[in-house]
Amino acid sequence: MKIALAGNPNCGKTTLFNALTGATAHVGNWAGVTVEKLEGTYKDKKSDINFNIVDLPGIYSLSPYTPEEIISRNYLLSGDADLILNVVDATNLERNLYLTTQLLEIGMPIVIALNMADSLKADGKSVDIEMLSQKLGVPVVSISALKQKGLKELMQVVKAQEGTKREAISFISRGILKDSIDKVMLLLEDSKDKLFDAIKLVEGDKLTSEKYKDIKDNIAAIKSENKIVAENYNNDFEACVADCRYDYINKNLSNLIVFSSPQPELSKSDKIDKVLTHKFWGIPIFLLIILAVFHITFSENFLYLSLIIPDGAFKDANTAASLFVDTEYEEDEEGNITGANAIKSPGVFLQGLVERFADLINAPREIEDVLDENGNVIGQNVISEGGLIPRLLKNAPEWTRGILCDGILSGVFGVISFLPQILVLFLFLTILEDTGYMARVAFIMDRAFRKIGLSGKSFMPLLMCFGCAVPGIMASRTIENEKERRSTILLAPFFSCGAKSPIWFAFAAVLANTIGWNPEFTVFGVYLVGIVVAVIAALIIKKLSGQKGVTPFIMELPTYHAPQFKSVMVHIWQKLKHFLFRAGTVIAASTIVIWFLLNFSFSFKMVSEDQSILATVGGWFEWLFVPLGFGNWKFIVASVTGLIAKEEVISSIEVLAGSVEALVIESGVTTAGIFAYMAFNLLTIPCMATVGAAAAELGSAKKTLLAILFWLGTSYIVALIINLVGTYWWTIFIFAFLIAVLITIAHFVEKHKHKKVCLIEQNESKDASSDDIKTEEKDA
Amino acid sequence: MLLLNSPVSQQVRVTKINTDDKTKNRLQNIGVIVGGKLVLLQSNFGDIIVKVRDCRLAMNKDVAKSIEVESIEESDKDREKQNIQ
Repeated sequence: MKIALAGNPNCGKTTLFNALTGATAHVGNWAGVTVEKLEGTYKDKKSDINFNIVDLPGIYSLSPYTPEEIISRNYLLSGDADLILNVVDATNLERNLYLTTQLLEIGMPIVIALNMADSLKADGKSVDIEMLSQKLGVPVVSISALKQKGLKELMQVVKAQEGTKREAISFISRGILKDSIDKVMLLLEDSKDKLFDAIKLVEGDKLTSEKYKDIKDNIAAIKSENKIVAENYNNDFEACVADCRYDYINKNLSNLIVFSSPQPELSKSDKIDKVLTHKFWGIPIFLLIILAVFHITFSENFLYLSLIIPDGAFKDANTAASLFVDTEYEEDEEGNITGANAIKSPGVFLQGLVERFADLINAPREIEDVLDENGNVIGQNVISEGGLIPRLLKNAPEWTRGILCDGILSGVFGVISFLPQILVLFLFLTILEDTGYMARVAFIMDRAFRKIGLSGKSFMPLLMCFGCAVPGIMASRTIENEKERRSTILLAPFFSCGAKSPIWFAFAAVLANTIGWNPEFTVFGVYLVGIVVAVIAALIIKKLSGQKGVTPFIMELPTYHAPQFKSVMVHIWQKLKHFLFRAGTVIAASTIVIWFLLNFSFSFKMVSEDQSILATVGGWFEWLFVPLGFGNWKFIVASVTGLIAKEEVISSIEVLAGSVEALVIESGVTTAGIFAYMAFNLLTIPCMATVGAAAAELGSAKKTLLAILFWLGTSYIVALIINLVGTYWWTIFIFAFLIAVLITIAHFVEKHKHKKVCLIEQNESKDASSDDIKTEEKDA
Repeated sequence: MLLLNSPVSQQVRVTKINTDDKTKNRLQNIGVIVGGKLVLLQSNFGDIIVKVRDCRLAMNKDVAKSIEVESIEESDKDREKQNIQ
């Protein structure tokens, strides 16, 4: 038996789905987490139950508004499922039952899972379940998806419905709409869902009207006969249908909520909102929270405790203690010690731990030649024995050691050592998401987003891009306006994803060593550059596409709750597994290829690296990147391998040069060049998985190609600006001038477009509008 | 009176929704209907948070401007007067 989970957004469908099937689909405390159909199975051997369960994106009604809602509606009407399991949030009963009244109009078995009845009880309320079941004519089971309570009973009730049939019923086919609905039903002889289709036709639902467009005139005639709707609702049948539904719910179902204690005027969530969404403090509070998260993840000086800890306090710390504290210090001529008084943040401590582990396994053997007086080699002196693997392979042939130690292990460890910081960062972001705070941030950011042609709706998808751009781009489905959706997809890669972060961490560490730059600010700076570029790019896209106004922003704010330990951990665990899987497969495999290309020539002879295939091919392109400050083939090759997966940039550098620091020294790249290189990798064409997701959402090869060119162009230009301004500061005036010219041009294009649009509106000519669409595509 | 300008923390009743069909449909589905009750919880330069039934909705200024409301006490008094007459 196949069971479809349907219900309002954020009512707990995916939590229930995970609890029933053992899946680990992403759960969050905001509307629109699930944007795709998910399938799983529920098995109970004792009672011989075996169900296929389908989780669907949340919907408020069966007249959809956004692309992901259409997925749910189409699936529910396809007849693929045998039963609809309607998940109803008890704490928001009336609104949830609005959807239920529509589901009941489809003639198939329905069971209602009344979720969160326990938190309703905590508020001093309860629902009369028996009465609810009687009124709706379908079974109702009280459950808690989160605490996994009542799930067995629910499945037993579902099982009992197997093979049964249910007549479609409607609560609105009785009142003022009765005649209209009955008459339309007579027209629909061969419809599978006669009642449902009839109501949707009366309502004027777009998708159903499209399906029955040949009887459009008959329906219009029937509707015009209804004088009551004409009089009371100004012929707005949609409003009339909605009103009838709510009217029924108010009169018959609302009284099923029993109050056992007086209700406070302002709930806890409202009180928290007074602070967190405050009109002046809202955004500063958000920025502070994010800065704090970065601090805990990246800071070498936790809570700036060095301000109160005396200098040199940790200078004699032993190896174990040095994981937690900074032991480096400087001593001047008079013996005054500065430094060695900072405590490492949790993220940095964990990273150090993994690095030590990596050294234990794969630290290179260091050998020094012993020379006689004439400079001839007479023997070898081992300085350090190295890690476990190099010691084991001491006598193995050079290529085996090379491929294993310098290839796979150094590439994979190069990436894995950044895993702890990625996980710590995501732990905090997941916690913020799970509490319900992020939905509020979407609201407070809406005003700012509007100025650049987006809306608060783009906030959650773009925020997800900090984790991974693939789900971020998929989440852009919740944006109803097509132009906004397209800009969101184009901007997605600018929000540094977890896989790119090793690049920043590694270069930040090098910059900390060479010019003493604070690593947390370097990393924060990279994220900031991405955001600033995204804002400028969004502005230019907005001007060029001649977008008028932004779609309205309407969003449900979920109730705050304490982060759920289990769901947060599941999310982090998923991230960890995904990362390790990629390190062990794609990354390990490509490090072998790179090692091979680095050590062999075109005639397949083992050669020194500057004669290798990679050096030759990479050398052809060096001139292109000289203006960007990193015209060295190793940098270029590393960036290109990033197309496979962004972690590859670092693992490739590890294979190519031994370490990031070694490459910086070897290539003589300037600080400006390092920043340009980071910016280039941040903004350029994302990994192939992301390009694929973008292609799927953009829906055409042409738009995808344009997107790729857009990313490549943006990264080249920004890297060029950074390198030139960093090297010759006065060039900033030239760029400021060029940007001003560009914005002026964009402004005139917008004006010109606007004129054209006005003209079209006057003429209402169809030909002109299609021309306009063509020019728009050209510009975009 | 526009929802935008309605007093904070006071129950009001929706009298009219002046916006395009799509947005109106969304508002209806999410619980904002003509005749329904709302409470304005907060206004940030016109962007608002309202309480509808048991849920909180955030909407931007344009939407907040498109919803006309009346104070419930006043409208009830009006009705009483009519009844007396």
